[in-house]
Formats: sequence, C-alpha cells, structure tokens
Amino acid sequence: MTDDLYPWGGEFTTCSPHGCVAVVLLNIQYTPPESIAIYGPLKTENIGIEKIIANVISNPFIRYLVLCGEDIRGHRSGASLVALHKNGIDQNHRIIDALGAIPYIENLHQEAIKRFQDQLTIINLLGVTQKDHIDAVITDCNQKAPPSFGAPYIAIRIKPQATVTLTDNRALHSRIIIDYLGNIKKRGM
Amino acid sequence: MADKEIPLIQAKKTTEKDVLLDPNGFFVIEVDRKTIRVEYYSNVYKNKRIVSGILQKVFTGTSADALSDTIASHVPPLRPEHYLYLGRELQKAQLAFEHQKKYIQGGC
Repeated sequence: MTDDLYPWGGEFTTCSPHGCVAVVLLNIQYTPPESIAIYGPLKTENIGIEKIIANVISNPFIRYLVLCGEDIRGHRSGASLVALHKNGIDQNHRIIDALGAIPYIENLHQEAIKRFQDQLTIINLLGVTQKDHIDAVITDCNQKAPPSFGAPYIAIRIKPQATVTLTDNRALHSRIIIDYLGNIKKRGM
Repeated sequence: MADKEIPLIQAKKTTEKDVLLDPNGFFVIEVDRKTIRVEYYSNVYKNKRIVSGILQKVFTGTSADALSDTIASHVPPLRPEHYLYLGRELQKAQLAFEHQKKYIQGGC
C-alpha cells in the first residue's frame, strides 16, 4: 500500500491515505496529527525536493503541502521548494530564483513538476515552530476537504529485480546421465 | 639489525576539503522500521562541479554484509576510500536498524 502511494520511498511517516495534507519538516521536532497523509524531513535542495514531489503527486488526495520549521542553512531547501512551486526550473534544470547552493532537479520531468504545481497548494510556514500554530493550519486545510486531483502520477517506480537463489547443491554439482529416450538414468555427485 | 623493516603508519583523517569525490557516483542511505535502503546515484556535473545525481539503483536489506556484497556487484568500480566509507556507513545503519535508532548518514 505504502509503496503504491509513495513509490520512491524515503525517510517519511505515513498516516491517513486519503488525507489532503503533507507536512515537510525543516529542523523541527514536530509530530503532525494522524489526519494528514504523510510527513517527513527535507534536507537537500536537489534530491530531497525531488523525493517530496514524487511522493506527493503519486497520491492525488494530497492537495496541501505545509512547510514548517527553520530552513536549512546554506541549502535553503524549504525556500527552494517554494521557489520550485512558484517558478519551475530553467533549461539547465536549476530551480528558478532558488536561494539554495545546488537546487537542480535531475530525476523528474517537466510534466511531473507541472503536476506538482497544479495539484498542490503550498502553505509556507517557514520560520514557524509553534505546534499550536501548525496544528491550526492543518485543521484549516482539512476543513476545506478538497477533492482528489484524479489519477496518481507516478514519476519514478522502483521495480524489484528478480533474483534466483539455488539452494539445491545437486542442481549445481550433479553429474546427470540421460538415456537415449531423454530420461534421467543416474544422478551422481 | 633486522632482516626487514616494515613501515608503521599512524592513521590520519583526510580533511573534508581534501576528500576526492567519486566520479562513479554516490549513495544515499536511509533506515526505517523495516529495512535499510541504499540509493545509488550517478553524478550530475554543472560547470565541472557535482551538483546532484541521477538515481540508478536502489538496494534494500537488513544487514551490512549482504548490502555490501550486493552493492559491490551491482555498481561500477568505486574509489577504494569510497568502498571503505560505504562499509562503515552500512555498519552504522545496521546498528541503527537493529536497535531502532535514528540513523544519520555521515560525511566522507
């Protein structure tokens, strides 16, 4: 269930699959209410942002992205995420007007970014660390109860690779004698 | 008088500014309740500087030795110090996983 809803995986906690809120934590110890869909930390302004996008547009019920806490020094990952939602990326894959050091989006197509911009409303609480304040904003989002955005958008799928484990040593080391009819006549080590 | 002299070398940590990044990519390691997850990225360069990576493979497992063996056989050859770093980090990740503690990936 979690893999289908959040295909890239990562360091996040899932709550209500039909929740309309995802919470991005920046330098903050905060546990959101169970009514939200998913929450987790954001660290880097490149791969960290890409993972968040891939793991929210895959769940069309998520319509609000609440950013809270203090932005990451140097990386400015929170501000870079806001900039991406507002401005998108340039031809060099750099987030337009992002403040971070290396805000490059390399694992997502433009279409995925457009979907992120269309599906999600950003609630920018950068600098806010008070639990009551954040809780109240989440409650407000929940009360608006927006409809699902439609079909999930799967930007990246991690596909399990088939592996074969041979545990029968005889299959590897036997000498098999086959008769002229193709039947096994003798199996010796 | 000894027949042979063997050098005894005192260990010294390479400073951060002197660490050579691996041209064959980098790893992101995460630990959750069910597994240790290792993402392998190839480097993305802009102006001759590594700025990000392209996700190439994801490995999951619960032990450092299985992950080490599997990763070594599924990624391009790495710098020796990168293999050693990866081994250290996977061992830390395994400890965190076994004790259900928070794991934070360390630098080189």
